[in-house]
Amino acid sequence: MNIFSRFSVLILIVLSLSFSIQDAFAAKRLGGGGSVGRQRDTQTMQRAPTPAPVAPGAARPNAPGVPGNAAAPAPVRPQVAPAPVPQRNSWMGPLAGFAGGALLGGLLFGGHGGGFGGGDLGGGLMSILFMGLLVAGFVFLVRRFLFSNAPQQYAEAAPAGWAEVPPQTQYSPQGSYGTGSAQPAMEQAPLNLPPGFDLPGFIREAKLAYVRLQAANDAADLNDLRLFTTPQMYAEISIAIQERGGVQQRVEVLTVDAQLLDLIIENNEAIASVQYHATIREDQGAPELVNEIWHVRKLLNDPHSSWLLAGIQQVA
Amino acid sequence: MTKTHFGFTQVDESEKAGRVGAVFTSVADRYDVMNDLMSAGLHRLWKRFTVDLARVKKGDRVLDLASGSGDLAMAFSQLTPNVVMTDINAAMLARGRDRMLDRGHPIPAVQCDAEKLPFADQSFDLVTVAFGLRNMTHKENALAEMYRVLAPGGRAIVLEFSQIWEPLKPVYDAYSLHVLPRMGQWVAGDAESYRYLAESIRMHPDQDTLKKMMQDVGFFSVNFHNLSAGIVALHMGYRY
Repeated sequence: MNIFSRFSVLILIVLSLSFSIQDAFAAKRLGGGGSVGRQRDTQTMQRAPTPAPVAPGAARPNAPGVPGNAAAPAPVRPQVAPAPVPQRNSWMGPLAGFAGGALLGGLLFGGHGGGFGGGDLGGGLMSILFMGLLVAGFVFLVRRFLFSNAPQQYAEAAPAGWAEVPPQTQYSPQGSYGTGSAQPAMEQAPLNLPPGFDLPGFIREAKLAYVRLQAANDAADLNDLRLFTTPQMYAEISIAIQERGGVQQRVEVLTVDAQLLDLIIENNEAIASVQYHATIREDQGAPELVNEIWHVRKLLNDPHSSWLLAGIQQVA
Repeated sequence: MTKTHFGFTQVDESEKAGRVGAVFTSVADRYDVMNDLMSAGLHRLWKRFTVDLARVKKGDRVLDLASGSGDLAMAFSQLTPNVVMTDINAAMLARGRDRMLDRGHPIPAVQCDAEKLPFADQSFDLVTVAFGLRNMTHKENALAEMYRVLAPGGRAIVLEFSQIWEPLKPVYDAYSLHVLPRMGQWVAGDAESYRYLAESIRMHPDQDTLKKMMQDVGFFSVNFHNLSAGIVALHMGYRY
């Protein structure tokens, strides 16, 4: 082997090593994007739209969330928009530009120290900018308000904490069933919650737990993870952390929304299934939509028991 | 009983906080959309300018007073993990806290009176208050509290409506005293709260007076920037 070949082999080895190292350290959200721990049949969950007459032929037996039997309650399926980045207001660009002009004018002709003057030119420019800004802003914002009326009505009807559901997580029951027929918006059957159950508070804690556990997973903070997970789930997570060598990573939660899908009580334990729609960024990459269900359980015969993560289940 | 102003109305000092609280409880649901509507989106630029000027570094301890729906706290929390948001109004604070959580930034949210802050002396590197100072009954007390909790080398920023450039005053007055309440009635179903907003702006100290108030409680190197011809002024002072 001549020196050139040896050099090529060396480069190949270094390259392959660098790729494998990069793979090994790829940041992953809690659960690694897979289903781990306790799993449940989402088709039997309580939170479901009122059964609608669905032709048997129209049902997709393999599609999660679509019941084979039209009489059985069907779980709500969120419509996830393909675009990974939340929509931005298209009017913000021109408006910001216009407003920026006014701001610049304000800064240039106002200046530090309080003088607004700058002569007739400054005053005239400012007047024009100011009036134009008001008119343009008013028109754009009225349009924004009118067009966003429907989601706002939904937000008002939702419990506190759901007020700002990202557009991609709004429900579209008709699309979920794919019947092609125009159906009225379906009412969701209420959850059979115990009296006094604080649903908004539970949802808030669920979102908090999502962010906190991602941070604990990033920091390889086993103590924090142990506080919020069942022993089985803790074992799964700690193995995953060991596999990545316990190194710290960064998974950024950009948005998180949660809803309680189901709450059941069996064998002295309450099991709640919380569906998360989140936008996360792993390894400074592109934002990624997450749609997964976390099953949390609480022991009812232990007064000190709290909700612990028992499993993560991906939603197809 | 000492009187103070609530908009153009004179009320007992003990009444003002409750009345201001009622205003914000009433408008909490429509607060953000009304902010956009009233300022034609300009409040976003004013706040961005504030964040740029604050020059927050990772690790800085930031206290945002009268956080409301948390626009400034949200921006600061992208720069440093040590951000605390406060508001005297539970409805507004809950809205801000939930917004922060929905964006993956759960930060401490403390309901407290900015005139009696429940924080130790010299415990923050930056204290901000955006569109909150004019609602406080004793502004000098709030400024003194801001100074107290600042660590040496720290800075305070007050973003607040101020006195507009004189030639634009007639247009601005017509807009804020007549159009704004109607807009408030139309969008938020509450004209009175927005009438209070317009009146409270008139009663708020002008640029030079606020600068002097900050100097009087101990701030050094106080200066201010007029934004959008003085509709809003940003005051900044240091503790050495």
